Amino acid sequence: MAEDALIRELSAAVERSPDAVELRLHLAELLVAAGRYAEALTHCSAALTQDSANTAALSLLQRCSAALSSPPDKSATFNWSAAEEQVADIIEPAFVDSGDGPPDMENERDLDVLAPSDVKLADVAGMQNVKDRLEVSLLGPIRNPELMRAYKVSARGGLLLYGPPGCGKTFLAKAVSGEIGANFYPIGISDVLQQWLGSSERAVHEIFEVARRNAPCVLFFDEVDALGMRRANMRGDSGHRTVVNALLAETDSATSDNTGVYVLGATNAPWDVDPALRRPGRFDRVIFVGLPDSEARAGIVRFHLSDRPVAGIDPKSIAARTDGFTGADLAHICDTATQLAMADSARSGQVRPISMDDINAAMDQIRPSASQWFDVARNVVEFGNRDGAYDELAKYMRRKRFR
Amino acid sequence: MSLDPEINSAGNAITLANAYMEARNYGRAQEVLGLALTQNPHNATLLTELARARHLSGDNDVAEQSVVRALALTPDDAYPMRIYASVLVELGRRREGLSWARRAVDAAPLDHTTHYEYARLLTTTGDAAVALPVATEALRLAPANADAHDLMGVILGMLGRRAESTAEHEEALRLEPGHARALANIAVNRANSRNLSGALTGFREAAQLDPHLGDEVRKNITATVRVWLSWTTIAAWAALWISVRIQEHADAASPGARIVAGLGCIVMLVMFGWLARSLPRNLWAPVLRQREFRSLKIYLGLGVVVLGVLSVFALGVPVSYWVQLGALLLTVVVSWVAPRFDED
Repeated sequence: MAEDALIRELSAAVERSPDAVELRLHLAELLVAAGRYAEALTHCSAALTQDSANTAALSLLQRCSAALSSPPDKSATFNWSAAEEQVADIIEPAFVDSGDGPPDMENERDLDVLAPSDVKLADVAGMQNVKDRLEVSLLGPIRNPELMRAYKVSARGGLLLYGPPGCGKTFLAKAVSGEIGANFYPIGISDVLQQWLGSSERAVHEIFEVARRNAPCVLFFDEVDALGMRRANMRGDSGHRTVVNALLAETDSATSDNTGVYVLGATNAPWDVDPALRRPGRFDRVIFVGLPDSEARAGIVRFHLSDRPVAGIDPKSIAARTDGFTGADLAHICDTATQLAMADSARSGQVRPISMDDINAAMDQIRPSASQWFDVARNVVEFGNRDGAYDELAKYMRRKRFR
Repeated sequence: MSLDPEINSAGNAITLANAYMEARNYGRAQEVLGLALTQNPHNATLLTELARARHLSGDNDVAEQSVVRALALTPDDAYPMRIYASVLVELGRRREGLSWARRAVDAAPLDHTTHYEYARLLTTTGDAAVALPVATEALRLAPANADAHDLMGVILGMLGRRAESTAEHEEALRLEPGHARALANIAVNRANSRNLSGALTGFREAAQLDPHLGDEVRKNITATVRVWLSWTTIAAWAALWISVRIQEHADAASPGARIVAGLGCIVMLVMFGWLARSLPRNLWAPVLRQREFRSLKIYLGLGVVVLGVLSVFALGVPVSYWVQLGALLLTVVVSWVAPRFDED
């Protein structure tokens, strides 16, 4: 009520002094806070007519347009054509075609959730096979838009990375984002699932809106199996079903314009992901991220010991003896070795570096953790691979003698 | 992805944990609940959910600690009671577990889940007759619950009422077409009715729907193949026995013996053909690697050695007798223990 009174007073003041840009913007801010976006937009346009470089006005205007472009409000009486004509010569297009230069943040609040990634594929040790596949299925087309145009293809749709836990799927997604110079927007299931009815669906919509506002943007969904679980596997009363429907709607090219939004997902259990989410236009490309190869293992060990006092560590020898270990297992080995060295230093009163002896002792304690994952994967390969979707996994398991 | 530090609302934490548990990611569910419990240490629902996540991941000792704390906070709540009951049965304390399940039913007699859980625990301990009225009550309270129909099917199957059992499983499938467990249970009924072809198809479809059933399905396929093997062996033995008998009482080149032996071969070929058609090639190796077949191979090997030794030391005895004896031994070994089909 008090807010309404303030808005009324400010509106009167703006009418009295139509050239007071600051006053007008303050009013617009209050209107946005009250959810009266259409009115706020009129004031933003008026402010921009007077001061076309006003960044606050631009930012507010984009917030208003984003809010208004989501579900259309039938009761709104705002004249869109008139507003568009008013601002057409003032505002530059929100998204530029070229991916060059650092990505822009269109909304200050988005700064909290978005981060341009500084990781590149070159920072990922080993795993050449996965990098090659990423290059062919995603990065190549994005880097060569003229080729895409020539072949009449688009980079729409998403890419799903799957494999045992702790093998660097998230890191790879960050590297993809860094390669194309896009904002990186990581989403965990805690960003989406909420207890109140309807709020999870709203969260899904808001996430995609943020990504669209900040294109080019890599929208990375972690644990897609928990978020987009097979609806057929859900118990009858699961409120989760509507979240999958919301995800389907947002990734549907017929109803949503996701130009410049690259959707990446990671999952340990692609077989539990709803089949509709894997249809063309959604997570239609799938890449298996297996256990780190020897080169990757050496790189991981080097990375985890890089800022610690070490002496005589031979990453290659460690890599040779850790076939079957995940990246997380290797990190665990490095941490355990560090703890052993620390404990010894505390006992002797003399600080000593981490040595190969500590690594060997740690390796005796830690077993590879991916075997349980491969047990389930074996079932999938044996019983659930009629369409050949898991041929790559089957080949990998045969080669690694997991079958 | 790090866990959101804002999981401060118990409700949100439970929503997340349930999503993780549905995705069988029990470790993450425990992390979420543990984080929420640091901020709400006396929340009984969080404690109960944590106990459930631990129970589902097989850590029943620690699950017991959480659920006991939850029960201390809400001693009349049926939900922790039934989780506790399930934990106790898993820990081998069957009588205590059933008593807590019974208590949960008394605490919430109109809640179908308490009846369901009590009936389920009774079936795991083999008390199908006692479980039947309890499951009936669960179904009366929730007639559209697929799990309850499936459980009823299991109980009826245990009581030998196979047709009714299959009907219940089919009803579960009608209510939830993705109910892999119901599909697997229908296949078990088919196998027990010696519809081996239908059983093999059912088992494979169940594992295709839910790969987590793979181990159990592989075991059941092995049991099905063993039934087939015993039939084939009996056919082979019968053909051999008849042809040897005919040969003993006629000329060496008796056409009767040849016809019988030929028919025996045809029967065996047909059976092999059926198996090759019913069981995809990629499943042969996994099935033969099963423990049941490993022991079978050992027994067969021993049988051959024994037979060889006897032949060497008893050259005067007609070979035909040893052939018959061998075939008989094979039959006994193959059908040594009637194959058992796992159902849940």
